[in-house]
Amino acid sequence: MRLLNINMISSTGQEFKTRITSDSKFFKRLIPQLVELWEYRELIFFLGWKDVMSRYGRTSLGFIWVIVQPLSSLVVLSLVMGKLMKVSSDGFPYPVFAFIGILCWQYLMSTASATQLPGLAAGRLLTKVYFPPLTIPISILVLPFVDFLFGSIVLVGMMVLWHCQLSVNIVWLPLFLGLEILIALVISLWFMALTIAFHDMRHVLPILMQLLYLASPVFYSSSVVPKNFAVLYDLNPIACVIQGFRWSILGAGQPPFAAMIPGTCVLIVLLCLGFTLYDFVSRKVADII
Amino acid sequence: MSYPVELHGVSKRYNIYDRPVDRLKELLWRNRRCYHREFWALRDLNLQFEKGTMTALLGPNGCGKSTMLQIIAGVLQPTTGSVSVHGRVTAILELGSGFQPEYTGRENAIMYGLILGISQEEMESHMDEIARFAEIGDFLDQPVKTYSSGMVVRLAYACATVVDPDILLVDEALAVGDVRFQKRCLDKVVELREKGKTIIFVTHETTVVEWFCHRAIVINGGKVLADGKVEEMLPLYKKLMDDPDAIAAKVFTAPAAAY
Repeated sequence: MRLLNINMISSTGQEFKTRITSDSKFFKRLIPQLVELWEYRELIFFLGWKDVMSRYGRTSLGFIWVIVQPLSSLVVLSLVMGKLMKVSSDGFPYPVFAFIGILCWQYLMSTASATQLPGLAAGRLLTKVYFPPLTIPISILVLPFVDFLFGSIVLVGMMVLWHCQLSVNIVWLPLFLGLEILIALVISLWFMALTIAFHDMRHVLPILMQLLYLASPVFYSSSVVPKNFAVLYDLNPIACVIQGFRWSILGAGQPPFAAMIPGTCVLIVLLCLGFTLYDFVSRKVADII
Repeated sequence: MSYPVELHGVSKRYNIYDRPVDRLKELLWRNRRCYHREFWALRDLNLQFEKGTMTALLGPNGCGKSTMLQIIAGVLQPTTGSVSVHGRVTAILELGSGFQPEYTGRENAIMYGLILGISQEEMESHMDEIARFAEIGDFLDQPVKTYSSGMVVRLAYACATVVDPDILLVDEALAVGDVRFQKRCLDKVVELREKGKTIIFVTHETTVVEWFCHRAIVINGGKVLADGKVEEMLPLYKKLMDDPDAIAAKVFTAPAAAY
């Protein structure tokens, strides 16, 4: 038996929840952990809100940077890939086509870099006071999501500018948005756990993100992928979600549902492994740091 | 009868790695080879703390007092044994432990509350009381990084006591404040004690122990040396401090179990 921490009725008669942190198997602990997480939702929003405020409130041009980042990468990609290399965009205006990919990518990329900045600071916080460790990787998803929303406004503007018709597939958008958030969660769990455990992680992360960037149809269309590679390609959940976004917003390509199955399976496996890994690391964090 | 805080056979072991790469090596060998040595910070503690009592933990630096408080606070997991805690625990472990330097005092107080499971609304309602007790005035809405060390510890103290804890852990937090603040802290602690709260106190100031504590536990080398009434423990503690050979050496040992 490891730690059995039971909070019962306190002396003031106020009832406290039962907190059990025993050495039982992960799935036995998962449900109580999720319940505990729900009780701490206010903390998650508070931490997320603080991130948003410091991003938008503390820099002098605050919210402009949020749009400049994806736009500058859009300009470069449109010139190099769209004009010079003539990368196919399945018949849609290249800037709009690429911008959807960039927005999706930016969300994951900012999540990944956010795990680096507070990774160690959060680790230190966990060594001082008890709170559900899962609040940290979840709360860092908030700021990139707000950026994502602002970026979407720009996307709408661009679609008007290039006379793009909104597809009726848009009703499926929430599904892909959900998948996108899950991918971000996987990234945040894995990278945060690894950063806490191994400080070397910050050197590995840029390489990994670079590979993922090339393996996902951010600046190209997944239709250029040869048939023999398609099976392998579909295993990448990021590819699925970007295809899904393009299909639901522009109506680009085939309905991606069949192709989504392998990617979603990979995502679920990674999510479960990520939870286990983070759970393991966060319980040892006070020992490691 | 159940005690607010109970420790059953609690031990804490740290694995000491000489280089970071050793940790990786051991992971890759899947524990078949051993690259670490062990340090036992606590060994087999069996203690009960009664309701409405104030207990002092005495012992030389690095004897495991703070580790014990961290285990009670739920931050550290004991290697063996179990801890049961009934009620809300607040801890003043280190100077402003867990405060974010970028956040303002108010935000830190709210975050502290949220971490303990207290709603933002409730914490806001305590804000006047916190500001008054911490005596930080208009600095309440300034980032904590602009605070003096005394202000940080006063804020930590104010937050930890305002939320009506059942168990209060204090780790040498008094040393930073000025005399007047120390007195007010102690008054507050006594008030909590009268209300039937359990207080566990780490300090090196024997006068404070003499005046306020019911019980003292002398710890040396991670083990309980003696446990009992303050009057009996203090001479023992003083003797321990005067005798350098008695203080347990901090040694790393080879892992007991063969891999």
